[in-house]
Amino acid sequence: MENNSEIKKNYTEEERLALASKLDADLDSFISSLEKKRYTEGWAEDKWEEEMEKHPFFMKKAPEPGDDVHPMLEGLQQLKFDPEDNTPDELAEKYKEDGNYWMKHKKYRIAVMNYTEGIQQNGENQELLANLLNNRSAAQYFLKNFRSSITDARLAIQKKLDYSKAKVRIVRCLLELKKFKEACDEVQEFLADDPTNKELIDLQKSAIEKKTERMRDERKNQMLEKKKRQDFQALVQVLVNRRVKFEEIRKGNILSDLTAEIIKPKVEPLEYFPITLDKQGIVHYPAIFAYPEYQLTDLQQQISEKITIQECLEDMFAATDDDSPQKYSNPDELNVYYENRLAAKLIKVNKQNTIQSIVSEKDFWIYNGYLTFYVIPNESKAEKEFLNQPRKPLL
Amino acid sequence: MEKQLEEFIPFLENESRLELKSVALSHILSLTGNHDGVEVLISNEKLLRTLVKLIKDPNYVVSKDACFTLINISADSESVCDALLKSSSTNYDESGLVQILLRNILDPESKVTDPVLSIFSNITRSEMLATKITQHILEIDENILDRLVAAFTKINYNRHKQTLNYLAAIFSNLSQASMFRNLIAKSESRLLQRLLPFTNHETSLIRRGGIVGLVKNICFDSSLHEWLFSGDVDVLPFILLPLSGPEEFDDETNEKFPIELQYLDSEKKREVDPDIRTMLLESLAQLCATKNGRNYLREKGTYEILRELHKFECSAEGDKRCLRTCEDVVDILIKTEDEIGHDNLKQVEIPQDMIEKIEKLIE
Repeated sequence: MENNSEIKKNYTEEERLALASKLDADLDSFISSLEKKRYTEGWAEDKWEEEMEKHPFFMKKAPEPGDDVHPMLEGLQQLKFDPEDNTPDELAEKYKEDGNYWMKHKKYRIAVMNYTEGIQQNGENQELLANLLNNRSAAQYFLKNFRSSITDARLAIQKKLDYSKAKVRIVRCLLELKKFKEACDEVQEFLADDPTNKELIDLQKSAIEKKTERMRDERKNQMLEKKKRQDFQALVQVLVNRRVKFEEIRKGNILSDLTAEIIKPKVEPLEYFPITLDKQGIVHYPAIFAYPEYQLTDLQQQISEKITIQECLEDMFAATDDDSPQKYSNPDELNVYYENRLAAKLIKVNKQNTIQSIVSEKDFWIYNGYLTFYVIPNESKAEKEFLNQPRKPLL
Repeated sequence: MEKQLEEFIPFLENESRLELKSVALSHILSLTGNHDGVEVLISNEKLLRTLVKLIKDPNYVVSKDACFTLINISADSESVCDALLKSSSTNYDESGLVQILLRNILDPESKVTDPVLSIFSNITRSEMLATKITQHILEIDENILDRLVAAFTKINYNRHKQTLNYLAAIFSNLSQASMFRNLIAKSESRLLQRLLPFTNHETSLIRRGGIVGLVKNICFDSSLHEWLFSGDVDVLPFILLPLSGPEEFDDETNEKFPIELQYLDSEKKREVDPDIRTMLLESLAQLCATKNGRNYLREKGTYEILRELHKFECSAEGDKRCLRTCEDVVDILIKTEDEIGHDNLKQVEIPQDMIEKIEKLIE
């Protein structure tokens, strides 16, 4: 209105500034007239970062079970899960949602706890119960608790009969537990009701494959075991025919008493080379040639029974390498002995005899799973000492 | 005679008193003991329809006797079966024979499923009947095959100890029809794969034999061979396993075999029934039709298995027909591909005069 614009005072710049500072001064005096109080409700200055971490709105990571919970958070929890406010089904639903949240974040143990709470609400909604059980089953699966996972999945199926996810999980668990036959049987039953389920079909292929492979491996092992036993029996028969004697079977009977343990050579380098029968019916022995003069030994893994001691020695001396000290070079200068420990006797060997005939001599007893021969120069001081060593008969 | 039969019909109606019904029925049943009796019964369509309805009777003895009556009738001949079908299936309604049979087979509470299956097996015996019935059941329910296989493969499907073993024989019979074979081949629910394990079913000869019969008939279609050999079906182990026995092979041969046949020990029992062995061998013979098939069989050590089988068939426990069929297959496998020369033996053209000569021989 025209009146207002005439009445309106025209402030000069100076007057404007004066008015502004007057208003400021008024405000200042008003504020200072208010009661001075210290602000005590806030966080302590030195601890504000800690407090912020704990506050539900500002926390950066979720509380773990067992942590102290901020009173505000506890309040929120009570609000959410208040049994007076919620029906069992609503509570169960909330626990399910929480559980699902933890599943997404791969915190499977917490998920299990939530689902368990949900299940324990004993709500009326069976579908919800089935979901909770299925989800808990999934969590257990990821925790590798396969048996628990199966239990939950089966319960879920009881509540909801065509629960494919639960069925698939049961089969997966059985495969993880390596129960291939059970997996095959279960998946067959499930496929009867749901024949086009692709996951089940793939799992079935896998289960059948693993089951048949395992069965084949078992059969193969059985066959190998059987062959081993047959080979051993054949060997035993031949040893009986050759009248071979073992110290360990002094009183008994080779046919019934000889075991793989007795045959096993009791010295490490010869451990995997026991007495064997080859395809031509020739026996091969592990043997040790001991040189008392030098306190050294030569080990032979498998000597054929058909060769003579002479040939044996010649082979051994010819085959030495440059590094090891030449022990002996001429078999003709050497005597070979074996020991009958039971009678405490040393028997001199005719070097032209074959191993076969020596082993069948009446004084020859095999001990430790290999043949032992002592090699020493003829008419030497070492030989005298060796022969005169006191020996006691083995009991 | 015919007039007297007419008089029976009212007593056989569902509403009639139980004692009258059973006595009337047992008379009819005794008539079916010989061919003449059956001929007489077949001539009366109304009687047949009434009998068929009695399968559904709530009284177990009545229902069972009705089944046995129809079993005897349908066992008679193809033309009798045809007449039976014609008389009872009108517009696929509730009272149709096939409808009633199917419903009984699929009902887990039925106490007469096995006798019903015997009837069904009889009416599917020939190729003509098999084709007719296949068409018929598809028109009733296009998913019928899925449901039948599901019932067959489920352990203890029926709650009253009905075994459903004869369903295998029915599958075998129906597979005479090419329509049925195509259904199996194109099925999305893997019908054949679910049935194959039964070639080793220990307890029931019928179950085993029926499925082997099914396999044999499917093998007649050489266009299906590639699918049969593929990893999806892998039919060969199911055929070879019953034919292999307690003989042991060396490592090299074992590694050739399909896994299921590797390292079998002296406990392995060969299939005891010579008819089943023959069907298995006939399946192999069919699978030899294509070059790929022959090579595949050779690769998998089929010859070695058949060599041992041949020794068995020559022994006192063996069977002459099996021996001949075994030799047929071995003859093909032994030849090299050059000697055979043809890719698909089924496509070889046989000159007309040869056909005439062969047909003369068969007569």
